Amino acid sequence: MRKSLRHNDKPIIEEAGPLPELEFSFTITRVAVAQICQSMGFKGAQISALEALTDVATRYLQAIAKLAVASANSGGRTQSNLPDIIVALEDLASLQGFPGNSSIRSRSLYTSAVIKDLMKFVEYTDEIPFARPLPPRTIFRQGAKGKYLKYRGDGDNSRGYRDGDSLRHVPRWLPAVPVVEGKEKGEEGKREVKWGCLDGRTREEKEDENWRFCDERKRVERVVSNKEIEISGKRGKVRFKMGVAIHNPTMVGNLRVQGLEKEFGATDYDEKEA
Amino acid sequence: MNGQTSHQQSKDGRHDDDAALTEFLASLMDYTPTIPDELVEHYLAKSGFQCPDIRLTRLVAVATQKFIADVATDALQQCKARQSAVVKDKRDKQQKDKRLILTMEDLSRALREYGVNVKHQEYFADSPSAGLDSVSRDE
Repeated sequence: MRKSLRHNDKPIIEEAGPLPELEFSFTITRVAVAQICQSMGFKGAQISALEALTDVATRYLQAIAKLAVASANSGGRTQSNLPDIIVALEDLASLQGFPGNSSIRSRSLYTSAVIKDLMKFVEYTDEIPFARPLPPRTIFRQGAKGKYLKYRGDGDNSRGYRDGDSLRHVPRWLPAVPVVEGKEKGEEGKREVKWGCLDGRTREEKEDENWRFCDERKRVERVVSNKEIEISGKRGKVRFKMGVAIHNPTMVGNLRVQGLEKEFGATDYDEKEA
Repeated sequence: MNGQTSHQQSKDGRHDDDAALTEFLASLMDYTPTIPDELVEHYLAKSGFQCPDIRLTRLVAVATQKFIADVATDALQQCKARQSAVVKDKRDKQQKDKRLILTMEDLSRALREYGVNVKHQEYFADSPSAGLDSVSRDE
Protein backbone atom coordinates (compact mmCIF):
# COMPACT_ATOMS: atom_id res chain seq x y z
CA MET A 1 0.00 0.00 0.00
CA ARG A 2 1.40 3.31 -0.98
CA LYS A 3 0.58 6.36 0.96
CA SER A 4 1.50 9.78 -0.20
CA LEU A 5 1.75 12.85 1.91
CA ARG A 6 0.50 15.93 0.19
CA HIS A 7 2.65 18.94 0.63
CA ASN A 8 -0.19 21.32 -0.02
CA ASP A 9 -1.76 20.44 3.28
CA LYS A 10 -0.11 21.42 6.51
CA PRO A 11 2.12 18.71 7.94
CA ILE A 12 0.35 16.64 10.51
CA ILE A 13 2.28 16.18 13.72
CA GLU A 14 0.73 13.45 15.74
CA GLU A 15 0.42 14.24 19.37
CA ALA A 16 0.12 11.11 21.40
CA GLY A 17 1.11 12.31 24.82
CA PRO A 18 4.68 13.24 25.72
CA LEU A 19 7.00 12.42 22.82
CA PRO A 20 10.47 11.13 23.50
CA GLU A 21 13.07 13.57 22.39
CA LEU A 22 14.27 11.50 19.46
CA GLU A 23 10.87 11.39 17.86
CA PHE A 24 10.32 15.02 18.56
CA SER A 25 13.44 16.21 16.79
CA PHE A 26 12.86 13.70 14.01
CA THR A 27 9.39 15.01 13.39
CA ILE A 28 10.61 18.57 13.20
CA THR A 29 13.38 17.58 10.83
CA ARG A 30 10.88 15.76 8.68
CA VAL A 31 8.87 18.93 8.28
CA ALA A 32 11.97 20.85 7.25
CA VAL A 33 13.03 18.18 4.76
CA ALA A 34 9.54 18.08 3.30
CA GLN A 35 9.68 21.83 2.80
CA ILE A 36 12.99 21.54 1.00
CA CYS A 37 11.61 18.83 -1.29
CA GLN A 38 8.58 20.93 -2.03
CA SER A 39 10.74 23.88 -3.00
CA MET A 40 12.58 21.62 -5.42
CA GLY A 41 9.34 20.83 -7.23
CA PHE A 42 8.01 17.69 -5.63
CA LYS A 43 4.28 17.64 -5.13
CA GLY A 44 4.18 14.71 -2.77
CA ALA A 45 6.27 12.03 -1.22
CA GLN A 46 5.96 8.50 0.00
CA ILE A 47 6.09 8.45 3.75
CA SER A 48 8.85 5.87 3.84
CA ALA A 49 10.90 7.86 1.35
CA LEU A 50 10.45 11.05 3.35
CA GLU A 51 11.45 9.35 6.56
CA ALA A 52 14.49 7.81 4.92
CA LEU A 53 15.58 11.20 3.65
CA THR A 54 15.02 12.71 7.08
CA ASP A 55 17.16 10.02 8.62
CA VAL A 56 19.89 10.81 6.10
CA ALA A 57 19.63 14.49 6.99
CA THR A 58 20.03 13.85 10.71
CA ARG A 59 22.97 11.58 10.10
CA TYR A 60 24.57 14.17 7.86
CA LEU A 61 24.24 16.79 10.58
CA GLN A 62 25.76 14.48 13.13
CA ALA A 63 28.52 13.49 10.73
CA ILE A 64 29.51 17.12 10.23
CA ALA A 65 29.56 17.59 13.97
CA LYS A 66 31.62 14.49 14.63
CA LEU A 67 34.20 15.32 12.00
CA ALA A 68 34.46 18.92 13.15
CA VAL A 69 34.91 17.82 16.75
CA ALA A 70 37.57 15.30 15.74
CA SER A 71 39.41 17.94 13.79
CA ALA A 72 39.26 20.35 16.73
CA ASN A 73 40.41 17.73 19.21
CA SER A 74 43.35 16.77 17.09
CA GLY A 75 44.36 20.40 17.18
CA GLY A 76 44.15 20.41 20.96
CA ARG A 77 40.99 22.46 21.13
CA THR A 78 37.63 21.71 22.64
CA GLN A 79 35.63 24.21 20.65
CA SER A 80 35.33 23.90 16.93
CA ASN A 81 35.88 26.82 14.64
CA LEU A 82 35.46 27.60 10.97
CA PRO A 83 38.39 25.59 9.57
CA ASP A 84 37.17 22.55 11.48
CA ILE A 85 33.80 22.80 9.81
CA ILE A 86 35.36 23.27 6.41
CA VAL A 87 37.47 20.16 6.96
CA ALA A 88 34.34 18.24 7.92
CA LEU A 89 32.43 19.45 4.88
CA GLU A 90 35.32 18.60 2.61
CA ASP A 91 35.47 15.11 4.05
CA LEU A 92 31.80 14.55 3.36
CA ALA A 93 32.00 16.08 -0.09
CA SER A 94 35.00 14.03 -1.08
CA LEU A 95 32.67 11.17 -2.02
CA GLN A 96 31.14 13.14 -4.82
CA GLY A 97 34.30 15.06 -5.39
CA PHE A 98 34.92 18.73 -5.78
CA PRO A 99 37.50 20.75 -7.71
CA GLY A 100 40.70 21.18 -5.80
CA ASN A 101 40.40 17.95 -3.88
CA SER A 102 43.27 16.35 -5.71
CA SER A 103 45.74 19.16 -5.38
CA ILE A 104 48.94 17.93 -3.84
CA ARG A 105 50.10 21.30 -2.61
CA SER A 106 48.62 22.38 0.64
CA ARG A 107 45.76 24.64 -0.20
CA SER A 108 44.00 27.18 1.90
CA LEU A 109 40.82 25.95 3.46
CA TYR A 110 39.17 29.30 3.01
CA THR A 111 39.35 29.04 -0.77
CA SER A 112 37.89 25.57 -0.80
CA ALA A 113 35.37 24.79 -3.50
CA VAL A 114 32.98 23.54 -0.85
CA ILE A 115 32.64 26.98 0.66
CA LYS A 116 32.32 28.59 -2.73
CA ASP A 117 29.49 26.24 -3.61
CA LEU A 118 27.78 27.14 -0.38
CA MET A 119 28.15 30.82 -1.13
CA LYS A 120 26.54 30.34 -4.52
CA PHE A 121 23.77 28.31 -2.96
CA VAL A 122 22.98 31.02 -0.44
CA GLU A 123 23.09 33.65 -3.11
CA TYR A 124 20.80 32.00 -5.59
CA THR A 125 18.34 30.14 -3.44
CA ASP A 126 15.40 31.81 -1.85
CA GLU A 127 14.84 31.50 1.80
CA ILE A 128 12.43 28.88 2.98
CA PRO A 129 11.46 29.72 6.55
CA PHE A 130 10.32 26.89 8.72
CA ALA A 131 6.63 26.16 8.48
CA ARG A 132 5.63 26.53 12.09
CA PRO A 133 7.03 28.34 15.08
CA LEU A 134 8.85 25.97 17.32
CA PRO A 135 7.38 25.36 20.75
CA PRO A 136 9.37 26.68 23.67
CA ARG A 137 12.28 24.56 24.58
CA THR A 138 11.18 21.39 26.27
CA ILE A 139 13.46 19.15 28.19
CA PHE A 140 12.59 15.51 28.06
CA ARG A 141 12.86 13.40 31.14
CA GLN A 142 11.94 9.80 31.53
CA GLY A 143 8.48 9.47 32.87
CA ALA A 144 7.83 13.17 32.99
CA LYS A 145 5.41 15.00 30.81
CA GLY A 146 6.82 17.69 28.59
CA LYS A 147 7.25 20.69 30.76
CA TYR A 148 7.79 24.12 29.35
CA LEU A 149 10.70 25.55 31.19
CA LYS A 150 11.97 29.05 31.12
CA TYR A 151 13.89 29.95 28.06
CA ARG A 152 17.38 30.79 29.10
CA GLY A 153 18.30 32.98 26.15
CA ASP A 154 20.61 32.57 23.21
CA GLY A 155 24.15 31.46 23.36
CA ASP A 156 23.66 29.57 26.56
CA ASN A 157 25.15 26.17 26.04
CA SER A 158 23.83 24.92 29.31
CA ARG A 159 20.27 24.78 28.13
CA GLY A 160 20.29 21.07 27.95
CA TYR A 161 21.13 20.37 31.54
CA ARG A 162 19.73 23.27 33.41
CA ASP A 163 16.48 23.15 35.22
CA GLY A 164 15.58 26.66 36.12
CA ASP A 165 18.27 27.77 38.46
CA SER A 166 19.98 24.53 39.34
CA LEU A 167 21.75 21.84 37.38
CA ARG A 168 19.92 18.64 36.66
CA HIS A 169 22.70 16.24 37.47
CA VAL A 170 23.30 17.69 40.93
CA PRO A 171 21.01 16.39 43.69
CA ARG A 172 18.98 19.03 45.29
CA TRP A 173 20.12 18.38 48.82
CA LEU A 174 23.73 19.30 48.09
CA PRO A 175 24.74 22.83 49.02
CA ALA A 176 25.37 25.31 46.30
CA VAL A 177 28.81 25.95 44.94
CA PRO A 178 30.26 29.14 46.40
CA VAL A 179 30.65 31.95 43.98
CA VAL A 180 33.91 33.86 43.94
CA GLU A 181 33.58 37.57 44.51
CA GLY A 182 33.55 39.52 41.35
CA LYS A 183 30.93 37.50 39.60
CA GLU A 184 27.49 38.92 39.28
CA LYS A 185 25.59 39.14 42.51
CA GLY A 186 22.07 38.13 41.86
CA GLU A 187 19.28 37.75 44.30
CA GLU A 188 19.05 38.21 48.03
CA GLY A 189 19.96 35.60 50.52
CA LYS A 190 23.72 35.81 50.19
CA ARG A 191 25.99 35.64 53.12
CA GLU A 192 29.63 36.18 53.51
CA VAL A 193 31.48 33.21 54.78
CA LYS A 194 35.16 33.13 55.26
CA TRP A 195 36.99 30.24 53.76
CA GLY A 196 40.53 29.39 54.48
CA CYS A 197 42.60 28.81 51.44
CA LEU A 198 46.08 27.84 50.56
CA ASP A 199 48.20 30.75 49.67
CA GLY A 200 50.93 30.46 47.18
CA ARG A 201 53.86 30.66 49.51
CA THR A 202 55.84 27.82 48.17
CA ARG A 203 59.18 29.34 48.82
CA GLU A 204 58.52 29.49 52.52
CA GLU A 205 57.29 25.99 52.44
CA LYS A 206 60.56 24.81 51.15
CA GLU A 207 62.49 26.86 53.61
CA ASP A 208 60.81 26.09 56.87
CA GLU A 209 59.02 22.92 56.08
CA ASN A 210 56.19 24.68 57.71
CA TRP A 211 52.87 24.55 56.16
CA ARG A 212 50.76 27.45 56.88
CA PHE A 213 47.16 27.75 56.14
CA CYS A 214 47.03 31.33 55.32
CA ASP A 215 44.69 34.12 55.73
CA GLU A 216 41.93 34.55 53.37
CA ARG A 217 42.72 36.48 50.33
CA LYS A 218 39.38 36.52 48.79
CA ARG A 219 36.03 36.92 50.28
CA VAL A 220 33.81 34.17 49.13
CA GLU A 221 30.16 34.77 48.80
CA ARG A 222 27.82 31.97 49.31
CA VAL A 223 24.61 31.86 47.45
CA VAL A 224 21.93 30.46 49.62
CA SER A 225 19.04 29.83 47.35
CA ASN A 226 17.47 26.88 49.05
CA LYS A 227 15.91 27.87 52.29
CA GLU A 228 15.78 24.48 53.93
CA ILE A 229 19.50 23.97 53.62
CA GLU A 230 21.19 26.59 55.71
CA ILE A 231 24.65 26.10 56.99
CA SER A 232 24.80 27.67 60.37
CA GLY A 233 26.08 31.18 60.14
CA LYS A 234 29.50 32.51 59.84
CA ARG A 235 32.33 30.34 60.85
CA GLY A 236 35.49 31.39 62.49
CA LYS A 237 38.84 31.35 60.93
CA VAL A 238 41.08 28.50 61.90
CA ARG A 239 44.81 28.64 61.71
CA PHE A 240 47.22 25.77 61.93
CA LYS A 241 50.88 25.46 62.18
CA MET A 242 52.37 22.06 61.70
CA GLY A 243 55.62 20.39 61.15
CA VAL A 244 59.02 19.72 62.51
CA ALA A 245 60.53 22.97 63.55
CA ILE A 246 64.18 23.16 62.86
CA HIS A 247 64.75 26.85 63.38
CA ASN A 248 62.48 27.26 66.29
CA PRO A 249 63.51 24.99 69.18
CA THR A 250 60.38 25.67 71.14
CA MET A 251 58.19 23.89 68.70
CA VAL A 252 60.00 20.62 68.25
CA GLY A 253 57.60 17.86 67.44
CA ASN A 254 54.65 19.89 68.43
CA LEU A 255 51.47 20.29 66.75
CA ARG A 256 49.99 23.50 67.85
CA VAL A 257 46.75 24.98 67.00
CA GLN A 258 47.41 28.59 67.22
CA GLY A 259 44.48 30.59 68.14
CA LEU A 260 41.00 30.08 67.05
CA GLU A 261 40.03 33.52 66.14
CA LYS A 262 36.55 34.48 65.49
CA GLU A 263 36.23 37.45 63.40
CA PHE A 264 33.06 38.71 61.94
CA GLY A 265 32.95 41.07 59.13
CA ALA A 266 36.60 41.90 59.09
CA THR A 267 37.98 42.55 55.70
CA ASP A 268 41.70 42.77 56.07
CA TYR A 269 43.94 40.10 57.28
CA ASP A 270 47.51 40.74 58.08
CA GLU A 271 50.09 38.18 57.51
CA LYS A 272 51.29 36.90 60.78
CA GLU A 273 54.72 35.46 60.99
CA ALA A 274 55.71 32.71 63.33
CA MET B 1 62.64 41.43 -4.91
CA ASN B 2 60.78 38.97 -7.03
CA GLY B 3 60.05 36.83 -4.03
CA GLN B 4 58.71 39.79 -2.19
CA THR B 5 56.29 40.80 -4.90
CA SER B 6 54.92 37.30 -5.27
CA HIS B 7 54.54 37.09 -1.54
CA GLN B 8 52.73 40.37 -1.61
CA GLN B 9 50.38 39.12 -4.28
CA SER B 10 49.59 35.95 -2.41
CA LYS B 11 48.89 38.02 0.68
CA ASP B 12 46.45 40.17 -1.23
CA GLY B 13 44.76 37.08 -2.58
CA ARG B 14 44.39 35.73 0.90
CA HIS B 15 42.92 38.98 2.07
CA ASP B 16 40.33 38.80 -0.67
CA ASP B 17 39.39 35.28 0.29
CA ASP B 18 39.16 36.21 3.92
CA ALA B 19 37.07 39.24 3.09
CA ALA B 20 34.73 37.18 0.93
CA LEU B 21 34.39 34.60 3.66
CA THR B 22 33.69 37.20 6.32
CA GLU B 23 31.08 38.76 4.09
CA PHE B 24 29.53 35.39 3.54
CA LEU B 25 29.30 34.66 7.24
CA ALA B 26 27.72 38.05 7.81
CA SER B 27 25.21 37.42 5.05
CA LEU B 28 24.34 34.12 6.68
CA MET B 29 22.74 35.99 9.51
CA ASP B 30 20.25 37.45 7.05
CA TYR B 31 19.52 34.15 5.40
CA THR B 32 17.23 31.92 7.42
CA PRO B 33 17.92 28.27 6.75
CA THR B 34 14.96 25.93 6.58
CA ILE B 35 16.25 23.82 9.43
CA PRO B 36 15.68 25.85 12.59
CA ASP B 37 18.69 26.92 14.60
CA GLU B 38 17.57 25.14 17.74
CA LEU B 39 17.22 21.85 15.93
CA VAL B 40 20.68 22.16 14.43
CA GLU B 41 22.11 23.02 17.82
CA HIS B 42 20.41 19.98 19.30
CA TYR B 43 21.99 17.61 16.81
CA LEU B 44 25.36 19.29 17.05
CA ALA B 45 25.32 19.13 20.82
CA LYS B 46 24.42 15.47 20.59
CA SER B 47 27.67 14.80 18.79
CA GLY B 48 29.81 16.92 21.04
CA PHE B 49 30.09 20.00 18.89
CA GLN B 50 30.74 23.08 20.95
CA CYS B 51 30.71 26.48 19.46
CA PRO B 52 29.23 29.69 20.79
CA ASP B 53 29.24 31.28 17.35
CA ILE B 54 25.78 31.34 15.81
CA ARG B 55 27.15 31.91 12.34
CA LEU B 56 28.82 28.52 12.37
CA THR B 57 25.59 26.76 13.33
CA ARG B 58 23.91 28.60 10.48
CA LEU B 59 26.71 27.47 8.20
CA VAL B 60 26.11 23.86 9.16
CA ALA B 61 22.37 24.29 8.69
CA VAL B 62 22.89 25.76 5.23
CA ALA B 63 25.30 22.97 4.32
CA THR B 64 22.75 20.37 5.31
CA GLN B 65 20.05 22.17 3.41
CA LYS B 66 22.24 22.23 0.33
CA PHE B 67 22.93 18.52 0.67
CA ILE B 68 19.25 17.63 0.95
CA ALA B 69 18.46 19.94 -1.93
CA ASP B 70 21.05 18.20 -4.07
CA VAL B 71 19.64 14.80 -3.23
CA ALA B 72 16.13 16.02 -3.95
CA THR B 73 17.23 17.46 -7.27
CA ASP B 74 18.77 14.16 -8.29
CA ALA B 75 15.65 12.27 -7.25
CA LEU B 76 13.56 14.73 -9.23
CA GLN B 77 15.66 14.11 -12.30
CA GLN B 78 15.23 10.38 -11.85
CA CYS B 79 11.49 10.84 -11.56
CA LYS B 80 11.29 12.97 -14.67
CA ALA B 81 13.50 10.58 -16.61
CA ARG B 82 11.17 7.75 -15.72
CA GLN B 83 8.14 9.70 -16.76
CA SER B 84 9.61 10.67 -20.11
CA ALA B 85 10.57 7.06 -20.77
CA VAL B 86 7.02 5.85 -20.38
CA VAL B 87 5.10 6.27 -23.60
CA LYS B 88 1.52 7.21 -22.95
CA ASP B 89 -1.21 9.36 -24.41
CA LYS B 90 -0.86 13.04 -24.18
CA ARG B 91 -3.52 13.34 -21.53
CA ASP B 92 -2.00 10.82 -19.20
CA LYS B 93 1.43 12.32 -19.48
CA GLN B 94 0.22 15.75 -18.48
CA GLN B 95 -1.51 14.29 -15.53
CA LYS B 96 1.61 12.51 -14.47
CA ASP B 97 3.74 15.60 -14.82
CA LYS B 98 1.70 17.29 -12.20
CA ARG B 99 2.15 14.47 -9.78
CA LEU B 100 5.84 14.44 -9.06
CA ILE B 101 6.12 12.21 -6.05
CA LEU B 102 9.25 11.31 -4.17
CA THR B 103 9.39 7.55 -4.28
CA MET B 104 11.68 5.15 -2.54
CA GLU B 105 13.11 3.93 -5.82
CA ASP B 106 14.12 7.35 -7.06
CA LEU B 107 15.50 8.23 -3.69
CA SER B 108 17.64 5.12 -3.41
CA ARG B 109 19.05 5.74 -6.88
CA ALA B 110 19.83 9.34 -6.07
CA LEU B 111 21.38 8.50 -2.72
CA ARG B 112 23.59 5.80 -4.16
CA GLU B 113 25.82 8.42 -5.69
CA TYR B 114 26.27 10.02 -2.33
CA GLY B 115 27.43 6.81 -0.76
CA VAL B 116 24.20 6.05 1.05
CA ASN B 117 22.78 2.63 0.28
CA VAL B 118 19.08 2.51 0.87
CA LYS B 119 17.56 -0.86 0.27
CA HIS B 120 13.85 -1.07 0.41
CA GLN B 121 11.61 -4.05 0.71
CA GLU B 122 9.40 -4.44 -2.30
CA TYR B 123 6.50 -5.65 -0.28
CA PHE B 124 5.69 -7.24 3.02
CA ALA B 125 3.64 -10.40 3.12
CA ASP B 126 1.83 -11.78 6.11
CA SER B 127 2.38 -15.43 5.25
CA PRO B 128 4.78 -17.37 3.06
CA SER B 129 2.05 -18.41 0.68
CA ALA B 130 0.59 -14.99 0.12
CA GLY B 131 0.39 -14.02 -3.52
CA LEU B 132 0.92 -17.54 -4.81
CA ASP B 133 -1.58 -19.01 -7.17
CA SER B 134 -4.09 -21.54 -5.87
CA VAL B 135 -2.22 -24.63 -7.13
CA SER B 136 0.90 -24.07 -5.08
CA ARG B 137 -1.11 -22.90 -2.14
CA ASP B 138 -2.81 -26.21 -1.89
CA GLU B 139 0.55 -27.86 -1.52
